[in-house]
Amino acid sequence: MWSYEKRLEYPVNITTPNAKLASYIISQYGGPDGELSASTRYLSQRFSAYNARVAGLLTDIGTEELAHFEMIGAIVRQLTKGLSAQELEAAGFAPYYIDHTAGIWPQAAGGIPFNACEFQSSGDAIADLVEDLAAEQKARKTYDNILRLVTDHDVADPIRFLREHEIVHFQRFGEANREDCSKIPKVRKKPTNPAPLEDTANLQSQTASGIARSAGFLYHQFFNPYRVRLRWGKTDTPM
Amino acid sequence: MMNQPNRMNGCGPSMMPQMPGAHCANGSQMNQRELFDWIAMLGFCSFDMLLYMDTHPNDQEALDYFNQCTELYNAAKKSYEERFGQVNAFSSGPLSAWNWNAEPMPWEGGR
Repeated sequence: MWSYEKRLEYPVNITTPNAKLASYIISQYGGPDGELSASTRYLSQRFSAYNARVAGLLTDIGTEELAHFEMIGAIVRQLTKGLSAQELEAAGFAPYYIDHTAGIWPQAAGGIPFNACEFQSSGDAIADLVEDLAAEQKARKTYDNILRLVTDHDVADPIRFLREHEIVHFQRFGEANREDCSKIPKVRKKPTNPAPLEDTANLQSQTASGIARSAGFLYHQFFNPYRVRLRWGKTDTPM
Repeated sequence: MMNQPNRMNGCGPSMMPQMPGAHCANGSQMNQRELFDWIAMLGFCSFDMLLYMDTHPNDQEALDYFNQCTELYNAAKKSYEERFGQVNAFSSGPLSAWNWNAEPMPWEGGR
């Protein structure tokens, strides 16, 4: 569960509203490489994380991404608060204003709604962690692009803080990837995702008749593509 | 306070956030804004160390630093909640009045 701390992770105090800037920065709220995407990705992937340390790291980084999601919402809110319809229209914010007034809604800078298809929770420890590394770099790229367009220090300061964290998370996911690889089964001396191995082990243990059981065993010993030897009666993942 | 690790990217004692002004560690001499910023600094420090510890569980020096950060962090929050109001709904109390959702939210300049 979570418990809310009534503060932003890094202070956001923007004195000059700028709706044009808000329409770009909102991409980190609900865009393809945004904070909502990141948080949902990690907090979903952790359920099938093979290694407890990696599941814990995904929880902690996913939690911090929620705090970043809140910071982006605060930035967009402060950049648009108090502007008239005419001022919003002049800043190119009218299409958003028509549907959402000055509310905060997760969308990309191009107006595309937040979409879970922007990330994967694959059930494969290696695929997930490598996706996470890419995700951090894609988010860092978006912050770099935002910083090229921002001249207001009040906005650039928290954006720089957020950009730095993409780099920290990238580093931690790289370390987690090594940690994970060191603990998952090695097949032909290469780390291999355990999920298909679990499936075949369960298949064997759930087979009712002894003959079918033997057949499953023999299948594993000689035909399985992973060439992992199973022992009689063993139902856990072969390690 | 003087024995912080200095192995992480060359960040040694200077990595510990500097307290605003010459105040004592629990923040009892700070005004509300200073103390709130001090909580943010220590919160950043603690969370960064949390992620580091997740992937370096056997780094004893870093664990000492993590302990220093979180001790100061908790002390600062406690001091703030005693004097100004709740940071977390459950950690302060007993309460004599309910102000948790009466004060402005953080993006509205609340602190």
